Amino acid sequence: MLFLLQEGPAETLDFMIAGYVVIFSVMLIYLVSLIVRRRNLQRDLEILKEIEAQESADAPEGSDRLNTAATGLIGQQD
Amino acid sequence: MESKPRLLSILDVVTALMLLAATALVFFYAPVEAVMGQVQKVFYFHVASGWVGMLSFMTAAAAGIIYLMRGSSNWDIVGVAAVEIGIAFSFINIVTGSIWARPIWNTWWTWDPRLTTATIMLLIYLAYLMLRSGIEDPNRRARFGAVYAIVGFVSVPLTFFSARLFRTIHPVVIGSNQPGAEGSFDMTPLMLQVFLFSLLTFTVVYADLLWHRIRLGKLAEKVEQLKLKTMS
Amino acid sequence: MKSRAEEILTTEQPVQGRTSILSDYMRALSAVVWKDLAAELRSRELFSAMMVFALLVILIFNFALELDAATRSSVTSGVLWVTFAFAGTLGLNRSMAIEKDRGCLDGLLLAPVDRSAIYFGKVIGNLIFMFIVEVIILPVYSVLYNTNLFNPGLLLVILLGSIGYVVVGTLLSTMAVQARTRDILLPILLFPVMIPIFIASVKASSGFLDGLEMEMISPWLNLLLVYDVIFTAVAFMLFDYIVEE
Repeated sequence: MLFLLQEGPAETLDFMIAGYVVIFSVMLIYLVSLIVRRRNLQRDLEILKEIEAQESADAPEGSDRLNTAATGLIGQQD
Repeated sequence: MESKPRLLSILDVVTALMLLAATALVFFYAPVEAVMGQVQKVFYFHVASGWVGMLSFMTAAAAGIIYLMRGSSNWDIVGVAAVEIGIAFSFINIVTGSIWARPIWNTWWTWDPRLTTATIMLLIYLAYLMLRSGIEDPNRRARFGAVYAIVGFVSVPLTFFSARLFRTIHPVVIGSNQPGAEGSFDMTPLMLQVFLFSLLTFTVVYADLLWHRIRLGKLAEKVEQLKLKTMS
Repeated sequence: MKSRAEEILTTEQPVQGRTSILSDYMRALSAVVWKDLAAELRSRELFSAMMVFALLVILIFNFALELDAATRSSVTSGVLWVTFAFAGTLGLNRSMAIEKDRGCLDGLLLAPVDRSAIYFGKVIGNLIFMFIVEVIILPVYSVLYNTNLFNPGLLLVILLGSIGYVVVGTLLSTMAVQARTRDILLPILLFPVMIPIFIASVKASSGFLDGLEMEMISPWLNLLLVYDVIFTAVAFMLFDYIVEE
């Protein structure tokens, strides 16, 4: 290895920085995705609870507001 | 799943502190390696991430087995959580392995058996998610996920052996004369301490993230059930 | 209108003793194999697809790689196994799709016999198809590239490798065929987990073709055996869980 001919260790600081950038950004991205998903799900839960409350109180027809809220939820998954 | 358990809040704090401490140890306590220089410090979290990747893999397979035996959807949630986290950390493992290899061996990839196996493991994880996304029925989705997690888990040690056998018969000219070594250096006692602490830290990080992800999964399940109830 | 095989499987037989259960199992198993073979004999759908595809792949390799006499020996086993792997995927996919589309799968599941009989029946059927294709490809490759592939060691490797491939492939294709993304899913599921088989088969094949000593080849053969045994057991245990209704 050529490094052995040099004095002291190789200058590899840039790579170390790159490595740690990768490590922390991936962890951060995952954490953020958890937070965002949690927030979305909680919002969905609120809407659904409203719908449920309204459905048990309302007549079978349901309102427009329920329909628009409902269509916003369709197709969303975990 | 309304309020966050107190234990989890404590775990969050502990995790954050340990991660901070581990990082500080790596940068200020661990010595600079005599030959490779600063980039060697990537090694600590690189191996720790690989460790978490394997831990997740085992968790997913175990959760799969238990799911098949018990049928409770909670274990399916654990399985998916483990796979997701496993993907993130396997990715970190592979990329940092590549970054470490570059200045040392002057190549971005070494086909080292451990790295190769880690990549295949990542592909199995991704295949797991693709399998699940193609199935509508939740019960079937969970069962298939469990089966594939188990099959994948059983295959990985065999993959590692075959990759290593392949390497010993075909020693790679670049790199050290130990075929299969990722980049060998002698670990001083200080390095060993930092290394072990990093492993411990990442295990705690894993536990913390897993718990959060499981809670998320349960919330999602609740939303799904409510959705079915109100929409039908 | 029930086929002969379905008739065998769904007619209740009086239990006469322990041997009767075993013979029921074997009858169910062979009924499944027979059904596949008979259907294939009539339509030759699977076989022609696999065969044509395999031939095309071999042909394409001629243009993709420099297969002159010198390089050829080092890549022959690689080319062969890539061909087998891809043609095998076709066969597995189609075999299961036929079951599902014709509703045979549901019919088979009604039979009062252990589910594993169905699994092993499918495995043997798929294996036979794969063997037929392989056995034809070998002489074709020999002729096209002027290489002698008649080698009993090679045949052994093809046997062991194909078994491992089909054992896992049948399990996974049973799952894949029930998903929306069925065609594309099988290779994605199968290839990462059959890597040990692939590596071992390629290395053992080239070992035999190059005339290496047994001690160089035997680790690979051992790996093949271990993989085959382990995954036959694993698939046997898991099959039930993927055909529940």
